Amino acid sequence: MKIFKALMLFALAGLILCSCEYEWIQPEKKPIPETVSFSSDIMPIFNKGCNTNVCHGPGATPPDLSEGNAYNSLIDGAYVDTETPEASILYTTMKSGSMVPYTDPGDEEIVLAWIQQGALDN
Amino acid sequence: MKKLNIFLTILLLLPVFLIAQDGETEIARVKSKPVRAPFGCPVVIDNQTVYIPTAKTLEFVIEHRFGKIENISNLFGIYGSSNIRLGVNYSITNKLSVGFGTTKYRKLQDFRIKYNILEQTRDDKMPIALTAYGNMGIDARAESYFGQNYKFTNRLSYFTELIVARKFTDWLSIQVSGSFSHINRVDSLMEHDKIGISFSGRARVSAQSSIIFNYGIPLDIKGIQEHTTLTNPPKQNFGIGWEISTSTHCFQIFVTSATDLSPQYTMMENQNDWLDGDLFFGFTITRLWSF
Repeated sequence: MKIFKALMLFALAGLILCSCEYEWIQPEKKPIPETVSFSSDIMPIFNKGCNTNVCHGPGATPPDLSEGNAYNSLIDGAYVDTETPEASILYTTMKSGSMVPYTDPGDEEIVLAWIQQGALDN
Repeated sequence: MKKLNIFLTILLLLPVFLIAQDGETEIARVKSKPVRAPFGCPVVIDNQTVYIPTAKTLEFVIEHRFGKIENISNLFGIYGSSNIRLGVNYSITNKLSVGFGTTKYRKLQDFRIKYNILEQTRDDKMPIALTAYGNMGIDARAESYFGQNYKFTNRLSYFTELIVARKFTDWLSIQVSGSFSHINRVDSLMEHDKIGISFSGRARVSAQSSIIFNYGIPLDIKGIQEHTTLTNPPKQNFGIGWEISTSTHCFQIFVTSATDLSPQYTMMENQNDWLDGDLFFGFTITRLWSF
């Protein structure tokens, strides 16, 4: 029985070692519009599930990303930094922070482009 | 990378060698009874314990984290976004359990194994308990999350841990663990590997109630680090709470800074800093059935 267990663990260890890889995510390139529009490019990202009542909806966890409130909430809460767009909290949380599990690949780059273009309410 | 693979091999094969030693010392340990339950639950907040239920016991585990504690308007996190894991574990022998669980974050499906290598004995001939724990996670989100050139193994992640525990008195148990985490495919700003240490404890205040804590530290070891500087290095995690355990149930309620319910992602990606007030209410319910 001891030998059997040892062999099982040996096989398991081998299996794990053989499947260890060191790869980087190369994001699928989503087309970034020449002029990113807050209403037609950014809001649809938030509408995928970010601004539900239990997440970033009205009265829930800030920022409020619901229709009609998202822009003011992001600007007033200093979630975007047009001086250093890559340091914007909105971008960094989507790129490598706590919102990664909820971000569709490539969406964070559209958000970055919007901030780089001045974070306009367009 | 070669050195790392050798280290990994040693770490993963350690239980095999220890099982062999276990056989040799079995006769000597016949008269030594193990101490009673150094920990009352298989988990202590965000970490595993050395505790494995007796053979042929099925565990059902519900782990839950609420949103960030902010103020009354989000009812201190209870109205915030949550994470949950449902899992089952089965003790094949008194020393070996296997399990499976599913988690909301990343739709992670995990397979786990826990083996009790050494048990602390009442006569102190064996002063510590030593347990090996490992899991393999499968990120079940859509292929698009893994970028170009996707293949199934991109979804895999691993966690291996050796836990040393000692029941110092009838009311105080402390454990220290060393762990190795690996994620196969990560964002360009992240690391693939992380070595960490954790400290956990349980202080009993009555027959069924205890104060519990857990502290996890991801280590920055230059030798295995792929980036010279880390953009968002993982933060240390801390949790403290209350445990009520009986022979068939275990209930824990606590505050913690870790919201991932898989240890590899807690060690590698936790961005919540408990010193900055990034704390979350959570609970764990364990139900045991013996067959």
